[in-house]
Amino acid sequence: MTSNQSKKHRLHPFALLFFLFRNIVDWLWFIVVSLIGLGSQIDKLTSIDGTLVMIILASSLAFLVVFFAILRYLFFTYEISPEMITINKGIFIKKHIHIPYGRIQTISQDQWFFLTPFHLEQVKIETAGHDDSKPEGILPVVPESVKEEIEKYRVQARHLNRMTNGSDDVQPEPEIQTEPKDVYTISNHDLNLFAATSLGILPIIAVVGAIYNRVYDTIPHKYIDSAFAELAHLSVLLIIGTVVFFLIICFLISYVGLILKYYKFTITENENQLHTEQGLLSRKTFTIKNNRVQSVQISQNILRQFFKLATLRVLTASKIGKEDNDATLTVLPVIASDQAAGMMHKFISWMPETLPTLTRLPTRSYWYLIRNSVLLMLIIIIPCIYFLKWWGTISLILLPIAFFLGLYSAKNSGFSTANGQLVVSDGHLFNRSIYITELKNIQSFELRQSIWMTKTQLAHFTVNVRSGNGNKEIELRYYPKTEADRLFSFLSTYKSSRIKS
Amino acid sequence: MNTTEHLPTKIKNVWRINACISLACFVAAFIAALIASHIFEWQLLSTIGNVILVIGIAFFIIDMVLVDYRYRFFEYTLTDDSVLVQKGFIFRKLISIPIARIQDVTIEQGPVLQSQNLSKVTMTSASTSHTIDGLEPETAEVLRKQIMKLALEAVENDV
Repeated sequence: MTSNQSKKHRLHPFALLFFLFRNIVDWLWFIVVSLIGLGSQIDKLTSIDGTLVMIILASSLAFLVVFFAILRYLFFTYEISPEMITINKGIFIKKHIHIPYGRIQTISQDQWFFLTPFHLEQVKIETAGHDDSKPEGILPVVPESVKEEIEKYRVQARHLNRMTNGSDDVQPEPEIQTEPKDVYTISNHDLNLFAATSLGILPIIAVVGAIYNRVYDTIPHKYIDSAFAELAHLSVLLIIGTVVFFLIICFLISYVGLILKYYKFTITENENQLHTEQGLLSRKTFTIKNNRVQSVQISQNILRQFFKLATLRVLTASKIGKEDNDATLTVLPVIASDQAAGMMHKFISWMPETLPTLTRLPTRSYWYLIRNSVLLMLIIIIPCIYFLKWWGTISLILLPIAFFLGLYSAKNSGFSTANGQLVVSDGHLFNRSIYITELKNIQSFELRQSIWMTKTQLAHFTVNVRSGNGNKEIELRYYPKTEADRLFSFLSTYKSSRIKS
Repeated sequence: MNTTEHLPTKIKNVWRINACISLACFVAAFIAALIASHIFEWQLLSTIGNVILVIGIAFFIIDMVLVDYRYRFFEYTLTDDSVLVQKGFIFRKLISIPIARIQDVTIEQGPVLQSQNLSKVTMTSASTSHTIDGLEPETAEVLRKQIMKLALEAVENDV
């Protein structure tokens, strides 16, 4: 073991730009507040010219930002030794992070297109702990060879581990499989379909709406009001045309965003690890151990249900997949819904090849879900009518929407305990999710009943599964108490072997 | 071994003391808001202060009234496979934590619990945690040992 194998490396100089950018973003609110606030105060209090103060303030802030970015860069070193990865960082509070290869659960890589010619990327390493909200080891800008080295030492560490712990492992012989047994790459046609059927347009409308609100507050009202007066004079057709144009723009933003995000999505399985790659402008790679998967989620929004398409995600005990909404990692962006289970079975062996028939919510319980949905909607409608008077009555259109939301939830609710696994179907905001969970991954479960539900003999059932760093509650609501009791005792009497997540 | 237990009666004192402490915090916030509104001549702060005081008193009354109810309707059972906790009467909950899922058991004693010589037991799984508000220290220790023993047995039953 020569000593030059483990020498401390600095990050690539491009990391300076990365730290600079991060500093600006972190300090942005401080910079803006102090520039505006302090600048104007000093102008009032002293006789010094306001603009001069602003210039001094701005340049000193700029200097500080650059100075600290340089310091952060200088104080960041990493070392890839045969036993572990060491990261040293921090200007005032020095942190030394040691990650032995055996503890690594998930590795992700993120490569922006402008770094590809330089063969640089960001590597994130995560272990089994669940303290922070971020992965433990982040190497912001390193050569691609770093990940290769890490993988090499990881495999070595695994072999060493197997040899010292005896051969009670069920895993195959210690060779690096160069041909992974199953690979799935999304076709452009499927990707197109996925991006087109996403209901992501709605959040974008919400975002644009929020931006409009911000703008409305800052620009003097008279400009906006006169613009609206102008618009009102235009013909109705033109107004409708503008709205449609606006919706098309939102749709295009959502569509292009998804294409860029999931471009050439690929999933493979290798040595009990799932490996996914996606993205055009930023190529992201996730490698996660199979046993970190807590639950498989088959998700469909109402549009995709109509087209018989589904998205497959996994809930993992990992923080890295957090960039895909709420700690789920997308493993198959889009697939024909009847093939979903079968395809997933190739990558995750405990997944059933076909989904069992589910016990459904009895019709008499539909009323409760619809009632709750309508009541919740009234919380929005009543203030609207009260404050906005006549214009507020437009919000009444939310009532039938609430009705259908409740109906959708009721129709898409169901569960099954076949094959020693728990399958739960849950309809929520026009999106159906079917969770398939091995019983050993259920952390705890609850049976709930209000005193009024004792008369109707109904109960709620909640199952808790680890997701990311926190908990995911999978709920079954308003089921007959007898069914809930049966499910409770089924989960209780299951003799599971203890496998920590 | 499958006996259903209630909390020791002293827990009611703990809950009442906690309610008083909460009330004290609300009152302090009210006083602070009152003083601030005088210093800064800001009417809004004193209204906020009043609201805080009303909320604080409401919580206090609710907490005190519910002490007996909470005591009566809290039970826990340690079986071979799981810890069962049952609480509430109007809103009932039955929680099961499989022993095999329990990652660790923590016993804590804050100042209020120390004054009553009780300990709080927290059982943590990989994603949830469940608390028994207060037990006699010996009972807490016995419970912890039993859980850990059963948890270890579960590991040995590993196929």
